Amino acid sequence: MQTILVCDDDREIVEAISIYLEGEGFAAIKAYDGLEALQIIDAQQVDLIILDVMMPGLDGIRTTLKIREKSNIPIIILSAKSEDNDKILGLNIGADDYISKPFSPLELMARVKSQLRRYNKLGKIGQSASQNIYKCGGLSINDDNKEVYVDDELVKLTPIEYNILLLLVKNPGKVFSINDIYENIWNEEAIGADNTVAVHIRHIREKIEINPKEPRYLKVVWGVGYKVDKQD
Amino acid sequence: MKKTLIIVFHVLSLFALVVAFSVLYKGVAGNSGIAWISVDDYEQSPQFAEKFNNDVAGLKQYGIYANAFAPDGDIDESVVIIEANEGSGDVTYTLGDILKAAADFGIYLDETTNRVLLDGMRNPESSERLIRVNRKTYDPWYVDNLEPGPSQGIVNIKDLCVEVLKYIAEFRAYQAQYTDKASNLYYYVSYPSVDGDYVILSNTTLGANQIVKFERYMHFSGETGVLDTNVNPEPSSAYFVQSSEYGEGAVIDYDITVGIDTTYPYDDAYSQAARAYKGNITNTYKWIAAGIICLVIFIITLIFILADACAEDLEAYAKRHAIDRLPYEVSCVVCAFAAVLCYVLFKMTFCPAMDALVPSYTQRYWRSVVKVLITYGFIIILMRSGIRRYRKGVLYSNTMFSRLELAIEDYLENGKQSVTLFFKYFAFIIINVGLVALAVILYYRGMNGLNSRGIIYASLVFVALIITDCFVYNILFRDALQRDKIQGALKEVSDGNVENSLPEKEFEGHNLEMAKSINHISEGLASAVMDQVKSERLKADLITNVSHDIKTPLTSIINYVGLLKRENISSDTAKEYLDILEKKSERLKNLTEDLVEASKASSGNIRMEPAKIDIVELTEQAAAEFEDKFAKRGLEFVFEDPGHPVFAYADGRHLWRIFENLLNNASKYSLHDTRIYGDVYEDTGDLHGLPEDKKYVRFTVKNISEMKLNISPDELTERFVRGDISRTTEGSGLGLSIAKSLATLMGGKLVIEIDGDLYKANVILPAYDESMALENNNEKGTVNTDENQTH
Repeated sequence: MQTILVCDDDREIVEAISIYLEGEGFAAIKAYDGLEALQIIDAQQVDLIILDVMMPGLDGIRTTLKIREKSNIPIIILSAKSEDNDKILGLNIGADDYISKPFSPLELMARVKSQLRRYNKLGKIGQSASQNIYKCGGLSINDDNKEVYVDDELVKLTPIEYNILLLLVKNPGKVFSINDIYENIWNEEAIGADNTVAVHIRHIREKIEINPKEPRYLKVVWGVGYKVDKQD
Repeated sequence: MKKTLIIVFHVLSLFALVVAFSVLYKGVAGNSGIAWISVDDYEQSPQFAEKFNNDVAGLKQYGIYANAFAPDGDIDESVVIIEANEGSGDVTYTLGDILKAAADFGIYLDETTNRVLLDGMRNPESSERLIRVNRKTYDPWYVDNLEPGPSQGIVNIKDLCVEVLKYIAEFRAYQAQYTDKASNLYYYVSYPSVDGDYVILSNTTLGANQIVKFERYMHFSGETGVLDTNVNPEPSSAYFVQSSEYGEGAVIDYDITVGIDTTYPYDDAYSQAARAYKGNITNTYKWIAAGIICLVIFIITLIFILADACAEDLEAYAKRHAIDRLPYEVSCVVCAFAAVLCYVLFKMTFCPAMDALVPSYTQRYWRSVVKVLITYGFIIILMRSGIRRYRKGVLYSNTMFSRLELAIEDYLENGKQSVTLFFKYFAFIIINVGLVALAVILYYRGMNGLNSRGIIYASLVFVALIITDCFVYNILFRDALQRDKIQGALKEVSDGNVENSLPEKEFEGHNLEMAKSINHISEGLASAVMDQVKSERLKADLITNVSHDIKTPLTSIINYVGLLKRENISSDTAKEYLDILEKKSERLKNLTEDLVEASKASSGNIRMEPAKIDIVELTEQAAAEFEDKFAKRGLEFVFEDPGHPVFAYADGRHLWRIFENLLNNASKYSLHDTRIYGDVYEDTGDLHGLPEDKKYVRFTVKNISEMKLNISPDELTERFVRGDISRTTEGSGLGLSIAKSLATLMGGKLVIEIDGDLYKANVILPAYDESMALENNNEKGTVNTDENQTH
């Protein structure tokens, strides 16, 4: 059984998250401020931490910094602060994910599982020395058998969706416009208005992303195109 | 007390000084000043020379009278003294005739006092008898004195008698003076007599040859006109008036020799004067000493009096000295009037008494002394006033001149521009016309030879004219320059740029006033703008903080609603309620997020990172995102691809937010089973007030509203305003407001148009061009970062 530390100064939220976690088969440990969380981490084995930012005493950011001094366990930050700057700060100091309040409990569960899978099985796929496996964070594409895995879960894509995703993953960081994608996949010149590509990409996002509105892998560059970022 | 004493001393020393000066100047030795005191001997002194000269003159006159009245030593009444014309013919009058006539008129000579007296009119009818006198023996120069003309020499008998008697009296006085034997004065005078002989006057048996051997002597020969003397200065009275145009008879062949025995064997006027001379020297020194002491006291007290004015307590004295309150020139004029008044009063009161006090020949002197004293008094008053003014620092400022100058300056600086311009221009014209006229006149005078240097002067005047006009041009130019600056500043202020203030040092006069006013206005505007920005920020901060506080309990609500739903609730109603709770909590979540965004967008508290954005691409992406939503309501999104990219210069993520809000509205409020039209234009049409010097692109969404749109387009974009239908549906009512604010922040505009049920939203955005990319790169380097561009 995996142990998850939930730390928030709002007891009801901690309680609710714990219930959800236990429902998913995790053991939940509750803490109500940063210091308490640090003590617990020192005292026992923890597999993942869910951390609020605005807390009395030691806040979430500083707690994350302290934890990162000795451990690399997954940390998901929960915060009422939804500004870009807050998210960037949280992710930069070492958090693995950032969820702004109010959040959907189901999404939180999905993200927790995703982080745990990645943390526990990190590198296993990478060790399979196949040339035809493309990885991007928790996303991996096996071009030999045309299978796509997100956090080790198989995702079913149509051939066109698969080809689009493969194109983007093969060229991480490069932005493809709709026309680029169309020309690459269909091998013919793009003429006129057609949102086929855009619709396909939306469908891919809905399949591989936990929250399609805040995609982790297949990102929309508005007014320019789409891309998949380079991740380890 | 001390002050009074000083003033008393001052006045006393002044009077003493005047007395000493007067004595030295007038008293000790006549009008001879004090130069003589360096001469030890009386015989060499100017006093001696003066006295000697007087005696020579007296002797000369004595000789004339003796010749006329007493050729034989005593007065001879048979001597003819006047030749005249009377009516029909020539007549001669003897002395006897005159004396008899005088007696008839009651005029006679008092023997004891030797004065002419009148004793009533005995023969009044003869008094008006007029005769023309041709010659008077007792006045050899009479003919010379005659004024040429018809009334020449006409006199009435009575006046003639008085005149003759007066001369006789004078003769007698001389006779008494010079016939005294006991005299140190020796003389020998010879005159050509009426009858051809020589009348000899002498008080000595010594001849002329002997007399010139005395230590001081003079000899004058009428024949040669040579004066031989060792008296210095020479006795000028020895000379007769020589020659005449009116009669040769006036030339008198006379001979006069005078000598002084300086051993002074006799006690007479000379020996007395010689004795007194030494004493006079001593006295003069005493007077000089006294005068110097007086002068010293005078100066010291004067210094005290002036110093007193320096030490006075200004505040207290300003009240006491009315004179200080007047302008200085006015004070001077008042003092001058007062001085004149004082002198007039003095003349009225003291002058009649002056005859009794001082000899008549010194009256003029005393009058000028009084004038000087009065003037001096008022000068002292003015000087004290001046010192006080100087100390108060108003010596110049409290003068009419200064006031006038200030008034002119004030008028030029602060008067109405229109009026001052008139006067300035008038002065300018006068100067110009005057100088031109002067130059022309001088030039013509020079050309016509009237003025040899006329052309040079004309050129100089012309140069002066040019310099003057250049100067005026300089003034006008500077004024215009300042006005230009003011105009520029005004334009900036009207454009809303209130940061720059005009440097007030660079302005003068009216322009300075204007510059100050403009600075004041821009300061006021700047602070108003600052206040507004500040209050918007505060509002945004407040909303952000409040929404953070709302989010935490909202998280609990959402979580526990979720937990409740997982419980096995058998009641269908309860499940329905839970669904409502879930929906509403979700809506509350959206609302708080929109609220924060709206407040930030409207306060400009959002960082824009504009980049090159293809609107066509964005529209296609957006259409894909909304495909499901549109399909749900049977809506069709119609987008005509222009076939080429249309680039805007905008922040992609925020632009997506605008598109999202617009399409979201379209999906929510469109009539079922209708079409939604999206269009992208490079041609912008109506700019709705955006600056016209830039290029824009436009995106338009058109749809048919499900409900009647009974609201104005402007109101739609206000916060929390929605069409009636949306009241009951989800949505915060902030979508359009956010879109509008974001569009404005990007330098564009959101324009809503309503035509019946046709609802049209236009997004106008700045078009992209290469210069923007360069500018952008220079400022921020690369722009396309994940965080900003992705969702």
